[in-house]
Amino acid sequence: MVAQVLEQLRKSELAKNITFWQAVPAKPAEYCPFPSSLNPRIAELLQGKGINMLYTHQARAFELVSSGRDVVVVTPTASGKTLCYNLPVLNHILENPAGRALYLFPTKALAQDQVAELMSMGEQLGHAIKTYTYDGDTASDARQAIRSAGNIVVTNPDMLHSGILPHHTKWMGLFENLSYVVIDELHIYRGVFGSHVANVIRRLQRICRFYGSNPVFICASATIANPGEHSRRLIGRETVVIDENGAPSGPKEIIFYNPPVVNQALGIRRSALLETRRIAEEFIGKKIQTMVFTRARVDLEVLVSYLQRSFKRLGDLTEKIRGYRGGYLPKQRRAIERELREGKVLGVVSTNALELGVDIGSLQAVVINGYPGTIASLWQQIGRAGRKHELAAAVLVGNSSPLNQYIVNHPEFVLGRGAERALIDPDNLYIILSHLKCAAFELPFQDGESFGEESVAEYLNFLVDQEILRFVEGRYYWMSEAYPASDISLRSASPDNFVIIDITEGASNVIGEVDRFSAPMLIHEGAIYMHEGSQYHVDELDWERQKAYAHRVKVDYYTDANLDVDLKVLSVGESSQPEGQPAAHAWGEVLVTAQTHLYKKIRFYTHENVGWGPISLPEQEMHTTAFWYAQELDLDPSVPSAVVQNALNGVAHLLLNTAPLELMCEPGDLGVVAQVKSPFTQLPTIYVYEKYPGGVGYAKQLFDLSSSVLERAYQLLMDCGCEQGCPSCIGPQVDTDQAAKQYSRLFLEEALRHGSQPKA
Amino acid sequence: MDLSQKLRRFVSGPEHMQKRGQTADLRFLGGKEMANPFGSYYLVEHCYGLDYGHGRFTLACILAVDWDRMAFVAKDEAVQNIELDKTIFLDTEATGLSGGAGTYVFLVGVGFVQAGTVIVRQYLMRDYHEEAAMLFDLYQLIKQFDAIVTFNGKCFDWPLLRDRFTLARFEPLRKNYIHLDLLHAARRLWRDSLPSCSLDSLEAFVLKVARERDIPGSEIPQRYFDFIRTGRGELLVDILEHNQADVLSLVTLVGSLNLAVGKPAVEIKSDSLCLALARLSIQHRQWHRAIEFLQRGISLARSNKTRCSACTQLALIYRRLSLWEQAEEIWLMLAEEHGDVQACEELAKYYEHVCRDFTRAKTLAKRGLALALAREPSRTAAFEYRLDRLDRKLARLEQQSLQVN
Repeated sequence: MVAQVLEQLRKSELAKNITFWQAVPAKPAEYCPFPSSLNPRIAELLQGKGINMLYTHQARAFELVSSGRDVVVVTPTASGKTLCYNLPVLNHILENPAGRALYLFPTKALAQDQVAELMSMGEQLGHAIKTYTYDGDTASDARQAIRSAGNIVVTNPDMLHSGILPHHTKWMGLFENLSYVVIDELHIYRGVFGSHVANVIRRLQRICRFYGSNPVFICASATIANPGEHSRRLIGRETVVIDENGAPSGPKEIIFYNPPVVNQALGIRRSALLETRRIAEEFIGKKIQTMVFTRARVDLEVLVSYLQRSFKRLGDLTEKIRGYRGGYLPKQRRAIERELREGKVLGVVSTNALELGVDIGSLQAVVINGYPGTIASLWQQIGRAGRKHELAAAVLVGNSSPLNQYIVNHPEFVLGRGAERALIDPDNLYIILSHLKCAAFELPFQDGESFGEESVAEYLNFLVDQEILRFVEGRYYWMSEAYPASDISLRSASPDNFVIIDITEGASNVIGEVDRFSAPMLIHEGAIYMHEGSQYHVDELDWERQKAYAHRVKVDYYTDANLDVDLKVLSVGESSQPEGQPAAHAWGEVLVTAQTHLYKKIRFYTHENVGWGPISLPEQEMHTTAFWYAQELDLDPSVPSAVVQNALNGVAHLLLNTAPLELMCEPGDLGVVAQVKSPFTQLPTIYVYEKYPGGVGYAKQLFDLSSSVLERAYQLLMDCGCEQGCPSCIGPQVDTDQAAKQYSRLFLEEALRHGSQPKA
Repeated sequence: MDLSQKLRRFVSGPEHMQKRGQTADLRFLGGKEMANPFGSYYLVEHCYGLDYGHGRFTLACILAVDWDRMAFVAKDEAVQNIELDKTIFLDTEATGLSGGAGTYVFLVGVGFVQAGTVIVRQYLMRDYHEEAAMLFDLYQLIKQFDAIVTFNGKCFDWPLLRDRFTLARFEPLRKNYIHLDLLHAARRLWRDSLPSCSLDSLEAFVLKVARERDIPGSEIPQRYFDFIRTGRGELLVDILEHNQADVLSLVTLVGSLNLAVGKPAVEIKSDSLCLALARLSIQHRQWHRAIEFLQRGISLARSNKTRCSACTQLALIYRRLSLWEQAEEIWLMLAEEHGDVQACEELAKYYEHVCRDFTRAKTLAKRGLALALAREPSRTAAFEYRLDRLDRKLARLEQQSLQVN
């Protein structure tokens, strides 16, 4: 059936929009017999499920973990990854009934899934093994039993951080006997979140040392480029990477689709959402079980209703189209998962919630509405398509954002490298300082004790100066009434965010958050704040309490605040400036200051300026890290500097949108500043800075990969069919300036010429 | 820019000069430095004669305590087995209220009766490094006792102290201590008569203890931090006095609870205390005692609401004991004088199932329905259901009598 649909697609008028088509051949399974040290009761249990041999990666994980090695398992979706950690853990507990294990999952939903499976295995092994989840929903009377009796405690990093580690004395039984720590979905722990989690794990290890245990770490991850390095940074120990996949897969066709351009000048393409719908209908109409991925919730609901409407005419199919996302109730989600496995649901539209290890089996077709943001995610989503024997298909529909355009036009980038590197910086000044407080609360620090790789004496002495710690007789003690973990969120993009509160018709719902740095630009009084396709007028901004009050409106303009960002280099980390060369790329620490003075009201489509207002808010200052590129631009002196500024802004926009390809981050994690003559370099310079104070390593990574980042920016510019620059390449051009695209190109060509020279 | 400079520049916050205090001179606190293999700490000991007056009670009140009564008010049978010379009164001062491993207990006051005196010992760590030594001697002392008396110690002091023992890596205390938490006992008795059952309020209204220059509990952690930083021993005087008074109040609070629980009903002068004792008696299934307290409570009642609630409870006990006539009398009074919906329901049940007088039952159910419609709509369905059934029963009776005729 899939083959039939693909054949039709190949012949249809849609075929001309396909930028890439690849057939991936089937792969047979590679098996190993059960290891001799596997407890016969487990072997029996597996045989009862029809498993008589292990896949090679499962057997290898069992051997390595049982011999005490820390491992990271990197295999695709639905390759039997959970057995890689469940087998050695269950085996150990059967032989050592006092043995304990701690499982960490990034979300509560995933934890629930795992517990259900582990509990049923525990039961089949004769109730010898008790598994519990411990999270915010755990009833307080159940907590005591879990602390004292749970062999396997399943939780999330947030709960470990704020609920378990600060109360470690109550968990003495767990920590004294902790043999294994399982960390699944390792790739989720990246960027700011990952940097926090790495510190939570440092704290966990410190507590284990106190109670005399030294657990083995078993990590599992989706495909990333640097699993060994990433796991080492995250858990602070060397790991063995297990990436040979023994699971079988059927043949699969991977297709990239770029919706056709409908307005050449503005670079507008046909809606990706509508094209996604059209392609999904082809599969579902042939009764092929199909999963549609989309990023935004609002798109999800729209797609569900479109697809249901399309199939109304086909009778009872309506019931078989379902949505699935994080906000649904657990019971509802379990029902959808079951119906998917049983084949009762024909089409499901999901956010990335189903990209993770939820057990729904595999489907015959996957349609992806827009690049999911990282290559690892893309592979996870593509991985959902695939049966053991039948042909499966995965279609990526690109949208008009620069990142999407790059991906659909450069499939070799996705396929060639496989995935990007997950980056974290556990030693970020602000993050490590937060966790040192928590750690000192949990146990006093000894003079000379390390926390991670670096010495932390300077931080501790600073906290002593701040009268948060007390240093006496060689130890640092917590000297405050506060409970530090409650003030530190692992997931907040910024240490102190502003919330936007919808006060339409007496309601008061929080509809969004923006970081402190962006607040003056996005939620000043009079701003039009956009949220899920609706417009909100900001009535009041309470700067002290970090709240903005807004009500829903329908107006034909948006607001654009003039943000004067100034960037001052504080110190250079590394620089490539060759002797006597007028060009350099570098990274270092910077101080970004931003001030907004006024905002403009700009009418949709025509971009006329229809009014303005003043903004009087304090200047923002942020210490962070930045990558920059500086070079002479050889232009006729008659070219006005405003034109040069526009061109540099264009390059900055390109860099901002292609950088995430290297960094496994969102464009929103970065900011850009373009200076026609930078006071620091004395040259036209483009800075890409990190929006999290102190940075988490993106700037340095951009420096290490600067020539490929510039190369990609250039490719994106050249691929774009627009005439004078458009939102898909150099960004919206308010004052249409014919030269902007041309000069942006000139700058990048020059940059690439210099970039090809060896680093100094 | 090096790390220290960065921290100072970007991570704002007031900078303090650590004033390194010399070894604090605490001699005027009247204690002495103690030493054990874990180091040294500071111990203050006071000895009180049993005739010492703490508020309106003397400490001697503890000798007269009937522990069965305390078990009654504590709702814990184990308390019956308390022996005074195996009992320790305990109150801690901590560096915070949040709990968790970073909350330190810096001062523990304990009291116990020995050779006709009450001894109060205060274990103080003069700085963090003295914690283990201080805890160790305390731990050794506690091991000699079988029962602990605290105020809110079940939630706070005792788990916190056990956490500290765990952190000091002492052997876990294996003993199953009898734990009498006076907060819960006091709440059961005085919840409705006092503005609050905090120790302050109990001291003011029950124990009549006047504290002259007391430090509010919320200021204690900061005061202690100030002491460690400056080494000025005088900062501790208030805390030590506060803690000592707390320990003595634990002793007299047991005495006053004992008195309150032991009074015959006729001697009690407070309606809410009567009701509280009745409630406890009911929970212990001591029906006749409950009847006495309720009857006394009804006669003392200062409001209609109190009276009705006491009557309702009394009638329920009569019903349970099948003292139907007494119960009926109260229900009729409640139904007629107060339009009480529940009384109507109870009467309807009584006439239907006990007297098998369906006509009377129907009258009361109708009355109840009318009242419920006006006052408690959620109860109307039950009455409608009952009326339906009564109608069916009446119809059946009529039919039977027709057939007989």
